[in-house]
Amino acid sequence: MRILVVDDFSTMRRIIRNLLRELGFQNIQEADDGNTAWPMLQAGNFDFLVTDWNMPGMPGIDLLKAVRADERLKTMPVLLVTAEAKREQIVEAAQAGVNGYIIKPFTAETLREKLDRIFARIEAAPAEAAS
Amino acid sequence: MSAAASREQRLATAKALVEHLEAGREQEAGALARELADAEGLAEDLGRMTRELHEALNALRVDPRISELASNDIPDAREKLSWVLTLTEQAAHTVISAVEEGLPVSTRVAEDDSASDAVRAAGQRMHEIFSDILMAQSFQDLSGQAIRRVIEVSGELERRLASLVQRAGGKPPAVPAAGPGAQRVQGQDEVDALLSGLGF
Repeated sequence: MRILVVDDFSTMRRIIRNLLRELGFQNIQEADDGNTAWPMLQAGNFDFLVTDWNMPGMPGIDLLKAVRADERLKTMPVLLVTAEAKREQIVEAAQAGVNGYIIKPFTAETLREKLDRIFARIEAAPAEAAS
Repeated sequence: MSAAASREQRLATAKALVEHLEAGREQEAGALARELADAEGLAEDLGRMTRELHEALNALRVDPRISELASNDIPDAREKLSWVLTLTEQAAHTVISAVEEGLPVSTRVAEDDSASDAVRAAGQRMHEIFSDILMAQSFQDLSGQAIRRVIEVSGELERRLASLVQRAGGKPPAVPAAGPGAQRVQGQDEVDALLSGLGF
């Protein structure tokens, strides 16, 4: 499982990377905003995207929309981890096709729970995920 | 008198008032302001506001403190905030590096079959503590975002203040009104409830 973690704060990237490592994920790459992440997503065989919302350059919501609009990437699960806690933003992310939404500050347990849930759903719908 | 005619008349008076003010004819402006406001019973208020505005614009012209704020103090404050951002980031990285070293050590102790139950339990507890310390470093991201926002706003303030000082003789620049406050959720539970309501 190749995971891309996108956040403009290097401390938060390291925190998420460490949490993912604790959960058994070893293959993790980092990007500091959507503009940096996009070519990496295009070039690399990533299976999962964890992204912040509020970043200079390209924000996470735009990255999510770009992923959903891309023929090859559109089924990739995307988890938003963000301090953005406005209802309309959560609704916008849901409408854009996000798979999970975690607000900062969060706990390791919350991250584990959301990941389990996302993977359980992917396994429940293998045809859609594989297409 | 019809309402429309009355409105037109008041508008004409107001325009004349602005012309007098722009031309610096204080007496004529005052008279017109009183005439305009008398109908509404607001002569006192408007007169006072006109005077205050006039004094404020004069103060801007003569108060060196205002331009000092724009050219020195605000840039200095911004620099200090950037420094706080750098310091907290470095500190958070130092802590995370220590945690990255400590986590596998605690795991080894927790899973060491040759160790006693008490030692393994202590290893497990150490692992939990390291995880808590790791999560606590997210303060740097959250406080950093707030500090960046303040840096942005103070930059905007600085630019507007500079422009105001420059244009003190003319009209003060308009300050954009704040947008309506968006409704914030109160925690992860509410996010989950909201998303589950949307079919997640």
